[in-house]
Amino acid sequence: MKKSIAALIALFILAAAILPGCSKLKETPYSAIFNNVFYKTSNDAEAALAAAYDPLASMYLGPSTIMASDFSADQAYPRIVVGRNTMTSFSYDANYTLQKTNARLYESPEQIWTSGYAGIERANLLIENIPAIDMDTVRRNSIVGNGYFLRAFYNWMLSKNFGDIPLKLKSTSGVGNAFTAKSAMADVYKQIYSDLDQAIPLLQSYATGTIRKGEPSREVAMALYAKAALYISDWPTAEAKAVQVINSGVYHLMPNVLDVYDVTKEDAARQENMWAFESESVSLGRHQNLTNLTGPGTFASVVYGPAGSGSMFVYEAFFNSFDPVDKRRLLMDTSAVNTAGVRIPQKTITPITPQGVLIKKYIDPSPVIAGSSGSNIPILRLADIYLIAAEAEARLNGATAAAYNFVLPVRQRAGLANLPAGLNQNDFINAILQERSWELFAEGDRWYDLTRTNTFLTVIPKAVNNVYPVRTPAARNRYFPIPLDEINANPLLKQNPDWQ
Amino acid sequence: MKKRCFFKQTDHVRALLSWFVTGVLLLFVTGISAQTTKPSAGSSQRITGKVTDARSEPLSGATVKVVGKDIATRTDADGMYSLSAAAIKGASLSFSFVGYSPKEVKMDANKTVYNISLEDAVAGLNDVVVIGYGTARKKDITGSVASISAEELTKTPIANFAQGMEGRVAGMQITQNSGAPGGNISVRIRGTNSINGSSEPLYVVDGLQMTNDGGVSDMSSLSTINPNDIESIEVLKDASATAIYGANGANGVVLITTKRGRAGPTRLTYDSYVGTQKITKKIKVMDLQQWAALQNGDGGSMNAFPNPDTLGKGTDWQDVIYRKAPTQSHNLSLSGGSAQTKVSMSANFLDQDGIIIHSNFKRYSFRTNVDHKINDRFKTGASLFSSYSQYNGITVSGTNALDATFTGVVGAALAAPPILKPYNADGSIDDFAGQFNAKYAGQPNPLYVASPLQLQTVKRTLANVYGEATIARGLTYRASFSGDEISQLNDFYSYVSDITPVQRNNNSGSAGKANTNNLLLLHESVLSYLRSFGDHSLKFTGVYATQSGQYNYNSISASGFPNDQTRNEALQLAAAVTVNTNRTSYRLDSYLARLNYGFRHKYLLDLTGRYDGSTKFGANNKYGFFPAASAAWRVIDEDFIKRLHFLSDLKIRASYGLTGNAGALQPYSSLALVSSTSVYDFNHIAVNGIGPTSVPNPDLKWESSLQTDIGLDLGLFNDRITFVMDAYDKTTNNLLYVKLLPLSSGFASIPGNFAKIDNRGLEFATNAKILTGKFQWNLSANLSINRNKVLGLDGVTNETFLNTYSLLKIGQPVGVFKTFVFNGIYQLGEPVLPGSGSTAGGTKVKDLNHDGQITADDETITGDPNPKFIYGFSSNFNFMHFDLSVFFAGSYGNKVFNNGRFALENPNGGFNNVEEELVNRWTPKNPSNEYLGIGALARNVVTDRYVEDGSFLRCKNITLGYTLPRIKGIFGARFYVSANNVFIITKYKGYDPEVNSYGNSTTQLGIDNFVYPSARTLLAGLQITL
Repeated sequence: MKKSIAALIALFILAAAILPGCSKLKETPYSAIFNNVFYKTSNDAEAALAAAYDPLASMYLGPSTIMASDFSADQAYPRIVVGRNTMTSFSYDANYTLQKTNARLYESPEQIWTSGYAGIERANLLIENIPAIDMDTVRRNSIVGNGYFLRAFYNWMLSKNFGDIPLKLKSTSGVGNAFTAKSAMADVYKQIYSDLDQAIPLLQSYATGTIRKGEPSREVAMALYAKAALYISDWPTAEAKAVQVINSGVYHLMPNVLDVYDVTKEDAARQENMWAFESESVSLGRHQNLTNLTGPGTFASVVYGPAGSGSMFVYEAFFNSFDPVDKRRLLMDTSAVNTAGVRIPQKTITPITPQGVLIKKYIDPSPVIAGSSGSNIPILRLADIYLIAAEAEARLNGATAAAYNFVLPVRQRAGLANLPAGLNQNDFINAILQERSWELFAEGDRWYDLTRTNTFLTVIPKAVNNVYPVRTPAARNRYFPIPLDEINANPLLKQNPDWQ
Repeated sequence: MKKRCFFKQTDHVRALLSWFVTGVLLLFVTGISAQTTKPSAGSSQRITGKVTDARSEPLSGATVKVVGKDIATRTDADGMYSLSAAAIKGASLSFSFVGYSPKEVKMDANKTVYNISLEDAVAGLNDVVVIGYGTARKKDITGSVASISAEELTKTPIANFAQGMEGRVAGMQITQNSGAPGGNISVRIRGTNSINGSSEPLYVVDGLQMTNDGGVSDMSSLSTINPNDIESIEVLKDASATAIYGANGANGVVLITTKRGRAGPTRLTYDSYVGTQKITKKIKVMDLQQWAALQNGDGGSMNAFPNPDTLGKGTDWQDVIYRKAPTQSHNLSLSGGSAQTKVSMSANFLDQDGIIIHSNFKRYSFRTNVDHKINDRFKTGASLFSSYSQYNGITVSGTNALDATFTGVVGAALAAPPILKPYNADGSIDDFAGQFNAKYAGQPNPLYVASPLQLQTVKRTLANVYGEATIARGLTYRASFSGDEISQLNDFYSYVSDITPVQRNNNSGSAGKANTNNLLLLHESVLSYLRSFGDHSLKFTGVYATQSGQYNYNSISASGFPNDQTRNEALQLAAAVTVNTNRTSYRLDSYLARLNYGFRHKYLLDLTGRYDGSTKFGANNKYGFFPAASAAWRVIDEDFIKRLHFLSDLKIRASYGLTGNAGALQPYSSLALVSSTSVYDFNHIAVNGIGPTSVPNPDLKWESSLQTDIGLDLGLFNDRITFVMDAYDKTTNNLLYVKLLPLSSGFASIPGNFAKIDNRGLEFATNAKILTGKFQWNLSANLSINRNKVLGLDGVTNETFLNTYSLLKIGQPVGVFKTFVFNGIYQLGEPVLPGSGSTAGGTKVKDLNHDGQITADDETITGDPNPKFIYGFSSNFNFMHFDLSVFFAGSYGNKVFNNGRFALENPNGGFNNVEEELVNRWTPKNPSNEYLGIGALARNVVTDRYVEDGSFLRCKNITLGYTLPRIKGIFGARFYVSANNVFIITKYKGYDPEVNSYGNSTTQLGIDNFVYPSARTLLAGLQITL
């Protein structure tokens, strides 16, 4: 009996000694990585870079960047669908309620806000962590340059939509630095300039031929610089940076404007389409929804692609505003051929109006995967840079010969003569704004021209049709309301005054 | 501080060590030579006899003892005994046997043969109930513990033991969320205690902890257990009972004890039933004529069908997907043994088809429990349960409010255009693209939705081995080692051939294989000491437990198959393959102690404390302490009460304590981690991104519930009538919740312990033996009232929507519905309030704040999915050889959001079929104020119109049985016929008000988005014991 008691005691001690182990309940994850062991190798750097682009895709899938602005403006409008028509009818609220309750948040300004700051967080991580990685210097510089460029881009995207915004310059390491107050727009743009000043020397020139498709070249950063300057009426900077891009001589307009939007010529068109959202019709690719939105919905068409929902059209008045010889008019259509080869006339293109006009900038007739489009969405295009240079020159010095020369290549390419000679400064600037409208329609650009020039209040009420017979924007519509989700969670932040 | 480790500690090594120690234990225990009590040496005079049970069957292993003398023996296999003691006049013989009431007989000087019959132990206060880490006499319990017997549990033939608990225990709400065989079920003890965690109780099966989780389309993890193996279920409700489970006890604990062998003759029982199931009701949708008229538009404006009246009824899609479904169960069990070794074994086969085509649940299970007494000091035993379950699932609608009629087979059947044919001429099905030039292909074919293979195969093994030693008088040590291994394989295949040839492309056909492996290892060392000193009785229980869990997941999905030949068995043939793997592990170390003190068994005091440390907790909160205290006063034992003879029991109980809920805390959630983001395409190739997943929270910890309970146990007329009442208040703090972070931080939220919730309620249970004797009539009933209230969220938010209509709001119960208030239909010429997005013929909602426009401010709370009270009652009658039982369960005052009706009441869904009532829809000529008209903006609005009364009274079961008179060679035989879900009394317009599309969700409750409807079952059964 003593033996058995001894045995038991031995057992008890053994069990007590072995089983509790000696780890102090520390956790070691198997399928995720501690962030203090990440950012160590060149592979880590590449993965961190891709992560910084992931929010860009989220912005351009809906695509919120196009739908929020173009549906507000005077070129394109959506078929009336609950939640989607709130932009066109200016009936959205700070909560973006209808978009939220109808699963359309991904099309709304809130998506721009969410993705913009997700992108800034990851750009900040690039800026903070990549410089210390031991790797090829050129590539490392380029990745850090991407970080500065993306932060500038995201901030610009946010500010042009929301005005004054929080300027987040450090990654969120804990709850302690998760809250940021608003900065004035001037300070935001100062930061955009500074980030681009950092990015330009770090990025490679397009001339090197080493730019990975989807990443920006040094000239792209200059182009963004010019466009950002345009939006705060900093004409000298806008002109200087635009001229820098033009004079670099590494980008050229495509001779045929239709080729810019031809998905089969996508790589060739990079000579003009400087930086775009890369939409890929492959099984793991991120792809935009514009091709589906702009395809006719009531019938399948060989030209537009296998799937179309007939959800986005241009106003007939806008279509009619083009010179009939303007080649850019071919980027729209008033009829379409269905899969049986029958031409469907304008009056039955869409059930919502007999005046439907189709957009042909995002067609992808034979995608790899039906329903997902390989057609990229341009973000910065050389034609835009010519027009920025022309406008900035005219704003500074009037309708000079230089200004006329900047706009000429764009008009020539469209098959048009140059602007009539002898325009005064105002008329010339208005002509450039009109040229921008024709050149950049359905690329998420027009609304910002109308807001930066503060002309939207007079222009929009005239941009109506039988689908949207009355459109009455208010002064507060100049900027979108900061999402209520942000306001509720951030005590440091106040809603834009117009939206309070 | 760096500590030196003797062993390199990984979970794998630790697992091996656990089993190594198990082996060592067994060696030691068996190595200690068994010192069995030797029979007393022969003597001149012997006392002999036979011990039998009430049915005159011999009892083997019963103890026969001369009271006050050290003379004792056991009966042999034939129940015979022989004591070598002279009959002493005045002395007594005692006969005892587990499970039987002991008996004492005075000895007669001249009599040497005593044949004794022992009665079955009847339910009573001396009954032993299982509590955490031990047992206790019912009369000594100070906490709130309810029991369900095996007989009650399996009275209704069930696939899942949780079904058998419904309506049986006060304070326990059970919702069969899906009517699929073996399907999802949710259990709440004393209300919803959690928001983002889990509110499911902890299940402890013979000491092994397990959880119930999964979505509404998944197999319930509890379905892997064979209900016939269960001896008893104890439901621990208050802090005193649950604190022993510390960080996992806050939602209540369901203790399951499986059947163990009994000494005595071997009994072989065969228990079987066969039956058939049928849908209880159909929802009325339009037939072809009505639907064609709808397609013709207002006043025939669309003119799609020139003569709708000539078209006939068309396809009734509900008839296509529902069927009469057979069900059968066979259970073979064996029990027996000697005083030294007892064995219980069982084998079970259950095969239940679902009432929707293709759905089925099959389970094969085996169990062996062995207990062996080595000698008076050492005991050992082992149990092994193994089951193999196959669940053929069906896609029921998800939770998206907008896709009720698209994603699931039930919704698809209700909304499928009746003009379409289910099958092609060759018997194949299509995706509706093959008929009418794909005109109606926007709506899925219900057969197409039902067609994909969705098979969940679960293999589960529960194993336990223990050794117990009596070290000194009253002092025992028990070491137990357990393992729970679950491996699950999910097979998925969607057929290429179900797609119309013109629609097929190189991505057609999709397949999946997902493997999940869960391993839980548990060691418990329990030291208990039980002594009485005069008026004082003392019991101490000390436990050290360590538990580790490992989770391994790998899944492959693929799409693009040339044909269906290999289904999902050769994924390498696919055009595109994606892979996903994940592995996690955790460990929980626990130290706990309990002290039970009694003074004259009249004044009882229990103190419990558990110290839990888990790897899952944040670095700043690795260990939590969970104490509880309770006391009881057995008033019945006071002299002044004893005079009241009608009283047979009176006890007042009170308890107070803290318990935790860490069940839903996922490993690594407190850490700063980076993981894969979505890809971005560079050079036309997708590149994987890696980015931060969350903001770290080193303070992350368990949810903690502070609970007060006051209870009363009352027995009248020798316990012919008993009452149990409890009142409780349970406040749960530090609820896992997300604090919304500004989106500008780059993150949406941070998980942490922020929210607070309160549940308070009353529970009543009564049991009455109304008639005894030849005609027996028993009645038992219970009623539970629970009031739930959210007391705090993230500290900033006052209310937040969980979906389109379910709300979390401070001061309100979880999941209340917030909607607009339906105010009829806009008529022609009536001004439409701005913001309503409506037109004539569209929904009109009330402008509650009278600001002349419709905004989110016009939404108000229009219903509470939590019942005002739930109840159950059952009655048993026995006369001669017949037995009849009826069982009802019900719920009162709960609301259901009928999202299915919301979808079916909209005539603007293209070619969808709709509710039959829409023949009375609004048209310019028919100014209906109830049903929407046709029009571009006449969308349906989430209003209180779809918040329906979900109160119900369900006759869950009626059973009539006949027990055969005794036949030689057969111990007992009973035949019965039984009906399940016999009828339901409810105003609810959907299939069944006992529903939740969100499955086990803690907060999104009472939502009907077309789940698997419940069935009525008729069956016949047979129970034979040899």
